[in-house]
Amino acid sequence: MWENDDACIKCSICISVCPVYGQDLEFPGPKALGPDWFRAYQANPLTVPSEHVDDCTFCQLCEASCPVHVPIAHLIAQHKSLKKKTWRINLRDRILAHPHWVARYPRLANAPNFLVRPLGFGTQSRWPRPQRRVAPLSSSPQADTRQIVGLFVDCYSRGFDQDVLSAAQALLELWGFSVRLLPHASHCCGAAAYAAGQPEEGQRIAHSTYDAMTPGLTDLSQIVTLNATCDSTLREEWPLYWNLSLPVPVLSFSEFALDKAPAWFWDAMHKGMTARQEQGETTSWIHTTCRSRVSRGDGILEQLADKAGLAAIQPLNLACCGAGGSYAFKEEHEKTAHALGAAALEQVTETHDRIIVDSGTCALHLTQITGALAKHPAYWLYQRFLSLTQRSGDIASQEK
Amino acid sequence: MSAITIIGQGPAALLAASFIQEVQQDCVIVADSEGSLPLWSGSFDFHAPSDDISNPWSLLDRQPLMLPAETWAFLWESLVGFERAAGIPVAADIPSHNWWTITCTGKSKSVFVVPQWQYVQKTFLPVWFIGFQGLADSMADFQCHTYQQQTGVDAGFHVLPNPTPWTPSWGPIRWASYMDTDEGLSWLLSEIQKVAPEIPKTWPILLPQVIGRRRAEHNLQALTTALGQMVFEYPLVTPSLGGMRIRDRWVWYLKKQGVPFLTGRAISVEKGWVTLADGRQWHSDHVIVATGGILGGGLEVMVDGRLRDPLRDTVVGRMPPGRAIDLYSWGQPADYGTPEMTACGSQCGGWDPNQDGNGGAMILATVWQSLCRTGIFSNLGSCNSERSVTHVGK
Repeated sequence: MWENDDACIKCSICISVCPVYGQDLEFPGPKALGPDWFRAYQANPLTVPSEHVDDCTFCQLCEASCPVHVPIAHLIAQHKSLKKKTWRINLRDRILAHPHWVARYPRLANAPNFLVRPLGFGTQSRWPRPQRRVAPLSSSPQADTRQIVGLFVDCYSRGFDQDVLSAAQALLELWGFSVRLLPHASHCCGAAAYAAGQPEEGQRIAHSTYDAMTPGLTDLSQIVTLNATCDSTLREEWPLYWNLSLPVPVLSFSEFALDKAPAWFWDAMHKGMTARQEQGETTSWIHTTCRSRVSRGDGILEQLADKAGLAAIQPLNLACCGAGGSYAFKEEHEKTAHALGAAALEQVTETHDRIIVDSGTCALHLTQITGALAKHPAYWLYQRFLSLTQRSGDIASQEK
Repeated sequence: MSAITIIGQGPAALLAASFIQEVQQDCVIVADSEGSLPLWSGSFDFHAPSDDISNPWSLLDRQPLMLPAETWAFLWESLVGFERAAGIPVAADIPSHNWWTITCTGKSKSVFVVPQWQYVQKTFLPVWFIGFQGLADSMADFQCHTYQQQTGVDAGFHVLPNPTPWTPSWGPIRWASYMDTDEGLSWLLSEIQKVAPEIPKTWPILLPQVIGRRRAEHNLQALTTALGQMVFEYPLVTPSLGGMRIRDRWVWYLKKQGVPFLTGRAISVEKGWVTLADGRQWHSDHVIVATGGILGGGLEVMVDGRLRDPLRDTVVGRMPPGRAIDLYSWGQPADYGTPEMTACGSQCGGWDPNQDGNGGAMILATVWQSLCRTGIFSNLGSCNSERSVTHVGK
């Protein structure tokens, strides 16, 4: 099924980049749980799964580091699928593997601790708050609308980050694009199920989402994503593992902005800064998520922040913040998740600093750990644009 | 997109990027797997063909590429400067002489630029080895025996028992994670203190290179202070904490300088256009192929100038485009690339670091050659003089 599945040369480079292995002394690491397990399983299908296999965040840093391209993370996902779980953990993981259910009914995240704790949900990690749809704030587009872009509405943005979604839509329209939100109803790319060791369910979810999206794609020039995991799942994992090929290119919002936002927009971002505003500029911390790093690399958010004229841009020295999608919401992972994110607290010492990050759950986790607001670049770009162009209010106040 | 694109992220690539950012030019690093730094301790050697401590400057003519002494000095000093800027504590005695370090088998090995956590000595001295029972590569008894035999100098050893959390799955990285905790440091100190009365006070204590990943210097200093004698590490085999620490800090340093680290496989380089497997494409004024890779995981520059993807056995380009070259004469200025594209790292002809013990020099010299072609060293005379670069070859 896999290309290079038996190619491991035991160099251990994957272990050297694994964030969990460096933190959790009981975690056997990607080599043991991926290629080593796979070889044992090939020789004996009755090989007992590791009790720690679910402690992998599916960040895929191991896979990206491998010099012989063993699909380490995906072998671990297969390993996870064989692990027996108690009914309550099964139920919890089934819920978390279907974030589009939660996005459909985001008030589920308000469930009290006495209800969620018995199911194995953690109570130390902050839960997201539901956000109602915010109308995009842009006025009429600044350029002729000639192209239509699809804005992929990931589960988190749909349920809990409507301000980010609105900001992204407003910016795209400002740049002269017509925006179509995709898919219309709440669906998931399948990444959550794959990460949870349910690859077949992930495939089923992905096919359902594909079917829901495809009728409206023919006139699109591009699909723009907001979440790094969904981005790489749509562009890379759909065709590679699930035989799903979208007829239009998929690109992250950040890369799209760097490439397509018009020159007048960038000019506006650099002009009109009052002395008071310049004095009030805070440090912009950048966290490129694991999946974004694996798929596209580091430095893209920094380029975007620089082009937008943000001051004091600093990449966060953080391999993984610990959010890991739904990882930090599980009681058995809370300690590791918070230990992984603790390095951010050593760096972000001012709560009025901003953190720019391309994932909603990472943003939630980093906000909790550092006390500084972490948000998607679309949010920060639009905030800055509004403040510099003297438009009324900000997204947060409009939301109220 | 960028003035200079570097393909690969091993030591040659990081060094090239450091030089480029130093002169405030734009560069981008693109790689589809990790570089080789986690596979070695990160100590740079110059030339170690014999067992004698050698003055490297007397060996300039033994390198495949003869650079002027002042160029070598500039390169080594630059390396030390970059490492220090990245937070890597490097002892520098350049350009005076090589040092001896002691490997995990007890053999002495000549090295030139070494992080301060690793034990080095100018002449052979008595040392005390400490091994960990549950760490396969720390063979203190064997190490002690070999060191005594090779040097004729006295040595001693102890093997410490395993800490409570230890399990048979612990490798070097797991040990280092444990040492990064207060519990780990406390365990280590108490175990050494039990055997300390047997260790002569003037002898340095040498520990396996697992004394933390983030806190190595802190831990070694704490041990030195508490024990009242010098404590260092000796390097182990892969995965190497020394190389990992260097990689972590050097990459971070470059990211802070604004160097992007893109993930992707370069599938073609044609007239300055770099194309990745995922379809991304950009133009660069210059492309540096730094994909030597100990594991051969990167693009391989074949002797006829073709660039081969060794995993899929496909040729993805040619260097220089449209013209075959003999890489064993790669050191000739007229032949080692084009103004648009050069290579650096272990795949370049004429260098055999495994035989000659000159891997560090190879990295510096080949990066120098590549960067000379980019023009960023235009203010340095030796780049401009072709006569100053003489190929010796095999």
